Amino acid sequence: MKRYLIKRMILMIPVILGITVITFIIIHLTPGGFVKTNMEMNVKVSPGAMEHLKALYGLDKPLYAQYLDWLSRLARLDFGDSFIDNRPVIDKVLERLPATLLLNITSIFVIFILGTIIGVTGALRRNSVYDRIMTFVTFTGYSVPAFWLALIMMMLFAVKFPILPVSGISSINYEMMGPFEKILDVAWHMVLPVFITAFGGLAYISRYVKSSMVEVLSRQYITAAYAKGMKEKEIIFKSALKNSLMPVVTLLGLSLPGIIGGSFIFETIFAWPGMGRLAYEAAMSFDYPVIMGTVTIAAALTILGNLLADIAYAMIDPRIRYK
Amino acid sequence: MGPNQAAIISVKGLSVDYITGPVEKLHALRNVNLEIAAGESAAIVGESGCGKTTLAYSLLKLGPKNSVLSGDIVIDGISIGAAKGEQLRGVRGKTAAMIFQDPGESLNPVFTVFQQIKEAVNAHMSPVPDDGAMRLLARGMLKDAGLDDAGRVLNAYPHQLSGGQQQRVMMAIALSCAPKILIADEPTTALDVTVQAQIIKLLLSLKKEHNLTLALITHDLNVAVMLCKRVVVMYAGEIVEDGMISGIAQAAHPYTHALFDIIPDMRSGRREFRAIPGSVPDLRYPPAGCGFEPRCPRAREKCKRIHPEMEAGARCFFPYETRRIE
Amino acid sequence: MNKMVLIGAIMAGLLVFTAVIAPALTKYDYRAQNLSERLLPPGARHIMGTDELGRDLFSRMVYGARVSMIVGVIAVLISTIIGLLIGSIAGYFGGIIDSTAMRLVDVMLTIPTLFLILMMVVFLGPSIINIMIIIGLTSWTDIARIIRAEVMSVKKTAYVDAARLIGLGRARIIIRHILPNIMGPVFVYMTFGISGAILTESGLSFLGLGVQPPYPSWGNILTAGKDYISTAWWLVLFPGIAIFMAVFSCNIMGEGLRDRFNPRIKD
Repeated sequence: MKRYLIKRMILMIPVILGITVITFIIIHLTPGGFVKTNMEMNVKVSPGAMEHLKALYGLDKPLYAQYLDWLSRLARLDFGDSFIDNRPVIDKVLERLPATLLLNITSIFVIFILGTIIGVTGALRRNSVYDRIMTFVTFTGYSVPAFWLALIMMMLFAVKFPILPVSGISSINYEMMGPFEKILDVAWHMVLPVFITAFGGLAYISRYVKSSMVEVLSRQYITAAYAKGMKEKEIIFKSALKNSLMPVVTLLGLSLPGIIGGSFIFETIFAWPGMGRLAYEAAMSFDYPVIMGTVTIAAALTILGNLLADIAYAMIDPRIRYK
Repeated sequence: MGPNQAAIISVKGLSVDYITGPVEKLHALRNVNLEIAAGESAAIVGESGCGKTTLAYSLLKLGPKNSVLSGDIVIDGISIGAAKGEQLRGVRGKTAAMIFQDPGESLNPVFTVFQQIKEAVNAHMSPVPDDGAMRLLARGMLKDAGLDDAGRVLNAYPHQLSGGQQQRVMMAIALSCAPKILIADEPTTALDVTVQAQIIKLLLSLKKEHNLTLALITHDLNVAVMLCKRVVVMYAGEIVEDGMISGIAQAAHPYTHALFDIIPDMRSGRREFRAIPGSVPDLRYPPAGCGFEPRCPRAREKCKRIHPEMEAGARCFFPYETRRIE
Repeated sequence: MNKMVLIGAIMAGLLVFTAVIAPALTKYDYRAQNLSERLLPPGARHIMGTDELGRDLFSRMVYGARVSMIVGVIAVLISTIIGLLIGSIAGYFGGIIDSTAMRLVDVMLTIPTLFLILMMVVFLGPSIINIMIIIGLTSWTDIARIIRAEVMSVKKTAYVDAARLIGLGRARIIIRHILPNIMGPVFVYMTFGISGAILTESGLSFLGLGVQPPYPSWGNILTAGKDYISTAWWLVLFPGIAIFMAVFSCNIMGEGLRDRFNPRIKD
């Protein structure tokens, strides 16, 4: 198992380097140099910022020197200061990070659990009416534009049946609540964003679980389990399930970038104070340092998540754990 | 099998069809009748597609979802066709246990050997033994199956064991609930030749020790004859010969005769492999007459038109003369 | 022909048809503002109602169809070409070239696509052309992988060796022997790619980062819709349904094509 993990980590290095290169390239693609453009377009930039920026990004130095500069700053997580309020970018990102993590991790859980339930039941009742309906529903969910669904949900729950909050992470009187109430309040606010995120991802995961389960159920060790006289429930939910869910762990790791990326839309719509929303606000106000910071941190989160998924998989699959 | 011996496995008029399309059916088994007495060892032989595996799986109702059975199977007094739920589970693993062809595939890759033995025992024993007692039991079973480092094997995962070890584990699991019957589906096919010999020896000794009724499925005539006095030959979904056969001298049906004939034998000095010319009939459209007719050296006009029934242990109008051992 | 492909093709065909004959369908100019007719519900004169600037919604919707179509198709073309190039080069040459390409794919997959797109849009400026290029530049990874796998497996077959022996040039081998085998998966990919591109474009336009007003996109019509949710339901309903239909029809076609081009697994 150690060898497997070390191998994965070594493979990560070129990826990380690649990310730094790509972000670097994009920054320098801005026609006319982004400092100038920024100055011309953005009224919010304070006068000192431009000089600061020039020095910070070393825009007068040769390209390779700039890249090395970029690398060293990335290592220190120094993205400079926000154009809007001159606060260090890293601070702004870190204070928004927990909200994003909360939303994304919860969404992943929901997708995993619901997806497994739908997938397993679908595998057990293949070609039944239930199966066809579920396939159709998840397929539709896959095709519905998520942001539109969010709008509809907002319309329903804010206007018609105001039972769920549609914006923010907590109510106005949050500070005055007891600890348990606070948790409930946040959870209540999470219902819609998590639901919308899950709706799209469900189709893919449930379908994968279903086909994985179907494949596992056709294996000889399952027939052998029946031949042993084991109860069907035990065979399906113990013997078969563990085998079919293992690849799903990897799949969830692969869906991470999608979920993290998608959070940018949902956070904006639901005014969720997370990293995605920060990125959007920065985009709207051309706050370049913040944008670069959020993108890089988002990529870092994905790498971390993938690594965690790899570790989890290595631990679950005895064929890798005990080689 | 003598008229006085009670049949512990009784197959009557068993036909199995696989639904392969909206109107298409594959007639895998056609009206099979077979009785095996308690304590008897019978080898069911034939080439791929003859239906022997379908027959084995049907004994414990393990067929795939698209199979349709008619006729009946009675195991130790219980009708398998009618059995479901508790009753069926009472037979599986307890009255009759089964071991499969590829031991690596038949063991769950994500559970240890101990866990898998435990599953088998817990399925039938009540009250359920605690872990300590279970470990002792399991060790004993593994030792009986010829595994000396039972401790290591118990905690191992299937992929950490060799093919021979895996097969022994399979057998230990199969015998864990003291079944009366052992159904062995190609137990040696996936193994190396040297390991094969060991497994055959093991089967012989376990058979004697536990007084098992053995139903051995194999395409390897040598293995069949080593383990069983009685050989049941299948072809194109039917039993074509059934009797105490240990060599070509006892082979009445031309197909059985050909099977023994083509085996390269050290003593005969013949080295090349031969094959029976022709191929098996398409079981979606079973022939009206004898299934073996197109490839049979003794076939005549009658064989094409009329379907032969079993007579004196052979389904043939023109069988060979034999010297049977009684 | 597969039922699913047929249904999808009909739906998509209808949308394409609407987009193409857009000018003939409406007498209103999609840019014409008429502040005295703001936010009118669907009625006799404006069959889908009007938006917050008094523009006829139906005209904007129909021209919006054009935007979606063009963005979808061109973005997918760009990503397919990039994917084809990278995939076939990686698959054919193997070794270091392959490893580098695969690392590049990993990088693209690791940075959450929407963030990457966001960054590119901000640095390059939002416009229809930029959006097409950006979406194309960020979605080639799937097709590259598929192509690479196909090229690698075809490379092993004997007849490519035979062709080499006869002396055909490498490019010729690739074009004449390998390409025909990959057309199936490529079509499937492109179909799904179009639906993905449409979703992405409308999402970006919705957030103000895509097609800029006054040019209509189903997404940016929804931007206004968001502010008038409780009063002007037509601004929310129609564009959403349109996007859904476009995406759904492509997805269904893609599913149908995928069933047809893949080895048949009995479900």
